[in-house]
Amino acid sequence: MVVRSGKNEDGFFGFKGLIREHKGNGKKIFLLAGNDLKKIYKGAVLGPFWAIVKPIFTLSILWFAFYIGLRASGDIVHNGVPYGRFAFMLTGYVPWFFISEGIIKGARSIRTNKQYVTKISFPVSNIMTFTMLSMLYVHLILLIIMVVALLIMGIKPTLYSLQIIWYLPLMFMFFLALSWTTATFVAFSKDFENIINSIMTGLFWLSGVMWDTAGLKSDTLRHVMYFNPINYFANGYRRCFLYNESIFADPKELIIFLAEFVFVVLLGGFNYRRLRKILPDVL
Amino acid sequence: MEKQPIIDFDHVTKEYYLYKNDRARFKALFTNNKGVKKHKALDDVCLKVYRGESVGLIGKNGAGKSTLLKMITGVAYPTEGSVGVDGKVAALLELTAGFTDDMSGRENIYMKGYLLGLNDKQIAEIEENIVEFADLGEYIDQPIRAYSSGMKMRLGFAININIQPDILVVDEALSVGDNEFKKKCKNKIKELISSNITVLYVSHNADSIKEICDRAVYLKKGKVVFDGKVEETLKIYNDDNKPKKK
Repeated sequence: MVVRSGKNEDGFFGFKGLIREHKGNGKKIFLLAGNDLKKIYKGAVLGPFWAIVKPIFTLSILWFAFYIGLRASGDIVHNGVPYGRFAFMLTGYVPWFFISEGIIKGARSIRTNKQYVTKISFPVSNIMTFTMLSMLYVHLILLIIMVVALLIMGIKPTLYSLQIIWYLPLMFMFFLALSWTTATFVAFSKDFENIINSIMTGLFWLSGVMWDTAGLKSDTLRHVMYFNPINYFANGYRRCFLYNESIFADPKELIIFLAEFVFVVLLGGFNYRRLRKILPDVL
Repeated sequence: MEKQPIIDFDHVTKEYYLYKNDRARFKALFTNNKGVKKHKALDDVCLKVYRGESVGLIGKNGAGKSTLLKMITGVAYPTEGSVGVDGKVAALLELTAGFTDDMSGRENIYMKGYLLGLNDKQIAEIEENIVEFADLGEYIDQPIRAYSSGMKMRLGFAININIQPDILVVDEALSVGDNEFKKKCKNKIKELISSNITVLYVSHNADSIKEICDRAVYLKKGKVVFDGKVEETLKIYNDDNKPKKK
């Protein structure tokens, strides 16, 4: 097989290149994803289990604060039905944890794995894939813990819960495609990493992780919230496990999100193709 | 039918962007590197290497030798023109690249194998050769963060040399551990060369090029000045770089 470099045959958005880089590399990606988890928690007896300790600790505090401490804060009322505040936050926080880690670590991924870019011949886009995949492992465990916790609170999964096979892969793909842009930008300039780190706390409170965006009084504001993709997933998880609503319950939200999804994927492919070949020169 | 080159540089030009500062780099992201000063590391290089050839690369520092090697190993990409490589490349350049400190030597053999494009079966076949060649004793099952830098190099060398490459890229400035191991490496390289492998050899040492190569390329400021028999190339190189008499 002749490997030719230099000719650009990947098209404007570079998807041919992205697909080619992933073809036949499945096993390698899975291995590197596991390795990624091991690397972060090196030297610890509990190893990768630490990855789930942090979110569980945060959740316990939230539980204590809202279930024990601030009982008076009351229930969240969504479409006229009251839901326990802790159950509400739990179903928002579990996707949020994946999203926040996905945004931060995804953006850093190329810089963290510099040696794969500058020292060996490695399909760079695989770096983002295995980084996101390692976080997906953690997310799946948290998801199970979430379902169990909901069961303990007396909230049983229903047929609507199966809609998770729509939200979960979509969430993975969305933030993977986002990292095609952010990771290459961060590799170029550290400013982007700082920008991202700075806006994360803001994003948390601007998204419907802790409060119900559908309960906003102002119509305009409620519509603005549709443009926040994090909101889409936080609400989506609640549709699956709490509200028992269909993914089509709010067509406006769905359409706006899908438009954003297409935009992020195209932008990511475009930026990746544009910058991939000069990455080794700037790192 | 005409013989197909195993390495084929077709009018390759490589330009590096020289950003004045971090701000210029940030800006370049949005302006597509317009107006950024460039440095030509390779300038319209045409080079064809055929299977079984041993080619020496000579030239001063900054002549473009490393850039050329990087393109063969698939780390750097040409700005213009194209590079074709037809076969597995073993690069004795960055020996410890791709290692994970917290995995054992043996796990790293597999890891590196995957990174180099091998599958389980292929790695299992060469695993024992690698272990034997690296000669790390019990350390092979220890995490490599416990290795000395020499031990890491040895493992890296052992892996690269044992993957049955079609093309071997060697930089002479490479140092691998103690004299005994160095000798072992030299012998292994020679053994590979005699087995009809294609070799690219970078060196400042005329004697070792004469010993190993049958063809040499003289690079100067990114351009191929001469490409031919070793003696002729060396002569031109030496004439060109005679110390100036005061």
